[in-house]
Amino acid sequence: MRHIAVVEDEADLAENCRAALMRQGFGVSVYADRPSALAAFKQRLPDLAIIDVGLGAEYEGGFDLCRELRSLSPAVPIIFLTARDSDFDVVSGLRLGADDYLTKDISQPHMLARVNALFRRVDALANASQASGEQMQRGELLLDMDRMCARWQEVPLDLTVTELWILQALAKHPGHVKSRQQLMDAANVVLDDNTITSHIKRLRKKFIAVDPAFDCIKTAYGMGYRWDT
Amino acid sequence: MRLRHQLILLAALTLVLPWAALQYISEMQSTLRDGQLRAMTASARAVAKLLASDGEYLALTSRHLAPAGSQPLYAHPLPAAPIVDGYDDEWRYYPFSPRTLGKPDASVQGTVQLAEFGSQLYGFVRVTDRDVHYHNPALDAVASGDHLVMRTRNVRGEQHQYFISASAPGRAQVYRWAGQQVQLEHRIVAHWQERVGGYQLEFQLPVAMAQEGLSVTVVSQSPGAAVVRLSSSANAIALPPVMRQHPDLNGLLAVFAEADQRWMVLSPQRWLLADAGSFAGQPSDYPAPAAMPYAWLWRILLARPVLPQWRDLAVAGFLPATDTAQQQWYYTRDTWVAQVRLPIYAGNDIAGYVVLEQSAQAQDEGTQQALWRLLLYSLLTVLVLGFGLLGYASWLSWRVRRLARAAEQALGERGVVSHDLPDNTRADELGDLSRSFSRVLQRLGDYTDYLQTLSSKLSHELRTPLAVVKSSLDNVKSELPSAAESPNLAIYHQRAQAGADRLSGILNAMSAATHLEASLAQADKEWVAVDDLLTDLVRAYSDSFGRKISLHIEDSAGYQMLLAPELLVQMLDKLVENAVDFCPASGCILLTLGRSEHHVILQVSNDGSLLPEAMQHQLFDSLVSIRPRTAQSSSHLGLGLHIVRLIVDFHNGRVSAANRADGSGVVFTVRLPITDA
Repeated sequence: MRHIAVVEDEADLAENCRAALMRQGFGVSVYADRPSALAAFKQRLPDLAIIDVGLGAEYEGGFDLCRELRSLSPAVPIIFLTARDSDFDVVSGLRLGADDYLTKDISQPHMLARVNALFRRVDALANASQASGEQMQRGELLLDMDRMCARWQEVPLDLTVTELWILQALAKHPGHVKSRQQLMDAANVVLDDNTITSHIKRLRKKFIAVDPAFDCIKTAYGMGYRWDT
Repeated sequence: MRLRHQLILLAALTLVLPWAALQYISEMQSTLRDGQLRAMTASARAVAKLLASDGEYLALTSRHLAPAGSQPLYAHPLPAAPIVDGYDDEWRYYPFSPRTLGKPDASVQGTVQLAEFGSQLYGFVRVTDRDVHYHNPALDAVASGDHLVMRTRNVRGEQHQYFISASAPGRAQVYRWAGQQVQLEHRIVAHWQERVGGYQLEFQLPVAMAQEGLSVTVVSQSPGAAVVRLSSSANAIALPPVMRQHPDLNGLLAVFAEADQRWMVLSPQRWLLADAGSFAGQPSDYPAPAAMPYAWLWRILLARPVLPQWRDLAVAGFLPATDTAQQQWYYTRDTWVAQVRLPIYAGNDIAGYVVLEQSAQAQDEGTQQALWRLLLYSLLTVLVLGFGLLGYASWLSWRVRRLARAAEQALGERGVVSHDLPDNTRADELGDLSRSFSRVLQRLGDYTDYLQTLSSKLSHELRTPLAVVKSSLDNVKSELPSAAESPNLAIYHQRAQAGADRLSGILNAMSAATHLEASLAQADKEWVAVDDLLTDLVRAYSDSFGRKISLHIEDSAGYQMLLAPELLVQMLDKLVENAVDFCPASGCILLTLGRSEHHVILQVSNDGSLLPEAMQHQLFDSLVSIRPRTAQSSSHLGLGLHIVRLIVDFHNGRVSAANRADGSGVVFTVRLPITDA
């Protein structure tokens, strides 16, 4: 049984989360603050951690906890679940090594989908030898949705689950314009337009970091984005 | 009344200054005049004393004592000898008035004028007599008709009587009785001429013949009528001497006469005996005196008391007994003339009078100069003060207006409150006003800032409880018995879920502006062909809104601009969404792209309801919505146009909203500055 740690100071939310996860057959531990969570992590690493950024009196306790957890284990998937939705917070969270950054109004099915996706990625990494199932090749892009990973020119890209889903939605039908709403649906999120724009921007940057000549994600003004090869 | 006008009015108060100075000059003038009178009295008194102790003078005046009751004739000095011809050519122009004989209403009247030139006496007699009778030598040897009787006493004291008569106009005969005989007198020349209603007689005789006494009697006799006698001095009384000026005395007086002084000596009976000097401005009969410049102004400015008119004593030859004032001011034309009369006492008797006349012209000139200078200075003062006050007023009202304008614009149409007002470092009241304005504006600004961040704060705070609600609903859903078993529960859950979703949508919209502000910081500008972009966009909009949206591009000469296309699109999204919402289904929406010299002008206009006037400036503020509250307006928080403004501001442009001139709809105009490539 996979074990998920939920670090959340809002007791009701934590319990709801625990209930939803347990219904899925996960073992769940709930911690209300950073020290207790850290103490538990040192005893035993969870298989996945869902962390709130603001923890009680510690305004950025979640970030600190994420950093400490990363130092304990570089592989444990970490999801930030927070009320803070500014770009700055998102970027800070992801830079600390979180696998995804979600705002609290995400629905449970969406969250569970993400948790499952992350576990899938962990499994795939663990069984590297296993033959890949669902793979998608678009020019120099290689998408493996089972392993939840993407490669550009054979170089692995470090994408969050949300980004991966967006990329998948775009690349599935090259040349087709995907509206923001379609991208949100594909990424299992409900966001405002600006956040989608930021996601696309980050996605482009990650490609450009690998290949400065990257120019496949096109903006169709007024409609959305499309993948051009 | 504006501040400036008030201060100008205030400046008019400085006109009191010249008025006060005028009063001062006026008083100074009257003091000066009193002083002048005192000085004149003093010198007249000195001269009177001097004359009283002068034997020669006393002898002279005693000789001129006319017997009581007698009426002496006065011989006026002449500038030239008249021609003795019986005509009044010269006499008519002499300034002195004639002596009247007889009563004014009598049938026979006469006038006598006596004058002196050299050692000759000249006389002119004018007789009004309707019935003139000439001398008929057959009837009487001396005078049978109208004639003149002249009684004289010569220097030796001998008294004579002469009869002057004429048989016809022309030279008249002069007879005198010598013993029992009639003798022609050749030393006396007389001419007789007729005139309308009478006759006139001009005569000449040596002074010596009549110096000690002279009287003239007009005799009018006609046959059968009573003889009428008109005499210059009653015959029953001793003959009065001829009153005349004496050269000796004139010489004596001339010693005292300084410039601007006229000295006169009167006999005890007030006959003019000597006359020397003249005062400035004394009217002479020949050249008209030049009027002082701007005398009228002088008269207006300085009070002019009512004074009697000056009369030349020399014209009458005597001072009327009614005139008893010792000192008096007179006017002659515009000049003031002071006259001082002092008696000359010889013992207890009055041996004559000294009269001194002097004009105030010298002083007046001084005063007038002072007045001119005063007027000049006060005018300068008034001007300087006036301009100073005007300038100060302008400056003050400029400051007030600037402050008012700044205060008005502080809460500008951009909704940004600037609390930096002019003059707030000054120490005066306007500075205080500016500072208190600043404080108020600062508070207002804080409040506005708070309002602007309210939505994002609110959305942040609401998100956690909403998350609790949503996750609870999700849990409820997973553990809900199947819909078939409990349909009501499923419906309730569905409604709760929909409400929570809507809440979350609202929260997302509320934080959109904040997200945008954050993303502005890292927005990248690139070169974009705005016309191509618009063409694509309008096609996309037409599809997605399912209605025709037209685009008009003026002058398709390239619209390459450096801007953030994502943001521009977002801005257009909001504007077009807004237009679609307000435009009725049958109306049209038009996008226009044009350019002015420095701007690219993008307009989104739509048919439909107009903007309320009052809201036009606040339209682009956060949380301002003018949408009517209807059922379908789900979540319009008034953030859309706020986002538009944020984006336009990011591009250093301006956005404005206005109603179409013809009232058919609304135009939103975005002006973006053209940046050089």
